[in-house]
Amino acid sequence: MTATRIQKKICMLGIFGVGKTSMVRRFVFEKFDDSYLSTIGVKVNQKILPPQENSEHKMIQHNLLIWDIEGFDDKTKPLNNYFIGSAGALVVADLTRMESITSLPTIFETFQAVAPEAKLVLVGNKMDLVDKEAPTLVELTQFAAEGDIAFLPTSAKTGENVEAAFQKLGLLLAD
Amino acid sequence: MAKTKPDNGNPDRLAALKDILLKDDQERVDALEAEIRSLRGQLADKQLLVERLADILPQVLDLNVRHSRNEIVDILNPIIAEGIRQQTGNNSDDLAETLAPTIRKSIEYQFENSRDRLTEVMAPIINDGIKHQVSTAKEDIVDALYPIMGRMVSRSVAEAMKKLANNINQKMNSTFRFEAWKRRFRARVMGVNPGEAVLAGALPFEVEEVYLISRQSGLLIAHAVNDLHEDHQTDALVIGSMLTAIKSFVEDAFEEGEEHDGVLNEIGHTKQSLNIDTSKYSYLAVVYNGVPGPDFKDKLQAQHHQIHERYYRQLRDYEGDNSALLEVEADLRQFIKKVYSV
Ligand SMILES: Nc1nc2c(ncn2[C@@H]2O[C@H](COP(=O)(O)OP(=O)(O)O)[C@@H](O)[C@H]2O)c(=O)[nH]1
Ligand SMILES: [Mg+2]
Repeated sequence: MTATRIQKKICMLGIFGVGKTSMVRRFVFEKFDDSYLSTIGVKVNQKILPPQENSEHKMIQHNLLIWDIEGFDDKTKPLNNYFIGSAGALVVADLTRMESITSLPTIFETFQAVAPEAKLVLVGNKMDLVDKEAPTLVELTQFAAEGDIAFLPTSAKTGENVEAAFQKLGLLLAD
Repeated sequence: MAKTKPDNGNPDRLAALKDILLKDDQERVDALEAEIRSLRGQLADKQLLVERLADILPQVLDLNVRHSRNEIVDILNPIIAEGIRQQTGNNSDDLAETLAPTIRKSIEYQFENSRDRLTEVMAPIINDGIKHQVSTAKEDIVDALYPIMGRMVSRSVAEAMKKLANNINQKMNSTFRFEAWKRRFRARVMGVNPGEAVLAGALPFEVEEVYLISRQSGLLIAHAVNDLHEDHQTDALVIGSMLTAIKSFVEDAFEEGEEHDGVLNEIGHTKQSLNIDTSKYSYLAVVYNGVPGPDFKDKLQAQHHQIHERYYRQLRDYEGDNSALLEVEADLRQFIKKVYSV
């Protein structure tokens, strides 16, 4: 039985420098150069996930259109229009910077105002740079637990959990 | 690592985007950009804004009252109903519904009889009036701005084009002297390279690709390419999304409200052009070569309309599964063939 191909738009969210672009780059083979990212503040990449069974026991295969969206700093604010039609988001925090965690509520709020139904996975990136007791990791784990949000520590540098994070989102999208 | 831009990021980014997209047309665009910047500056400057507002207020009021009285009333209607509901408690929906039409009538009456009161009501709408002024300059800029699809879509085709253009360049240098001179002249005036100008003149009209894109998410619902060219299906998905993103960006950069979605409708390029027809749930984007016949836009619109009629529900409920819409691709291929000879 062949799997049904289903396209989904997902967004990469998080303040500048947390590793959104690095995570995407780890995950996909990029076709277009980055000039679009720095000018219009978004760049789209595509990745086909492995086949999986959805909640109705049908075989499906997600074709993710990944919108890597710049910003969420004091200086830049992404266009809310970029969030429209998103089925999910990978929200990225940086385990070496507490401000990437304190910014999360605003990010969630802004995004969910536009895409309330979207599925979310939260990652604490740059895990290669911190140890297990790092206050940022503790804080983030707690934040995720309180909000009942799927959470994974990742490293775009070593590649650890990057694939897993996208696949986790894929699972949620199939529900 | 690229540094993030300051507050007024959009004009800067716009400049950068233009850099990427069109080096040749830069001068023309620079002038237009300066104009836009000044307009945006005026919008940002409160004092100036007030002055400008005072200038155009009477016109805007006049226009709006004459043309959109019904719309204004329609907008106010639910708000007033809600107000009454709040005043009279939760169980007064009926009351609100009963009163609303009456109040609507009364407002209509006011519109006809009292200019001063009108001003209060109109305040939020005036903003749109200003946007409209900005959009006059914007049309020119958008026209000049976006050969993006040419860049993104055409790689393989562009290669072939380049070869052809080179051949023609050689020809021009040896034979048809006078013709060549005319073309060169035209090319200089038009700012394209002479080979390309010949190409533009010689190229028969031909639809290259058609994209049906979900309007909100940018997901690609259906895609068809001219048989003569290789399929770009893999890129097509990303292109559909990027096109949607660029559209959003441009609309935002020009301070356009959501009600004006048709901003980026045409993307000109020396060899390839893009035309986008927008309807409720989708864009129909057509990449073509050469000069289309006068009724091309109508045909495009009609095709889109037909798709909408036939697949209304599927388009409305679209969530990324194309299997219920496979037949659309056949329609699009038909469309490519049909308009071929226009
Ligand atoms: N050590 C380490 N560095 C990372 C990791 N992810 C990203 N970086 C670095 O962090 C910086 C910002 O990454 P980038 O992907 O551009 O962040 P973005 O602004 O969120 O897209 C770059 O210098 C990356 O090389 C990671 O997991 N570990
Ligand atoms: Mg980035």
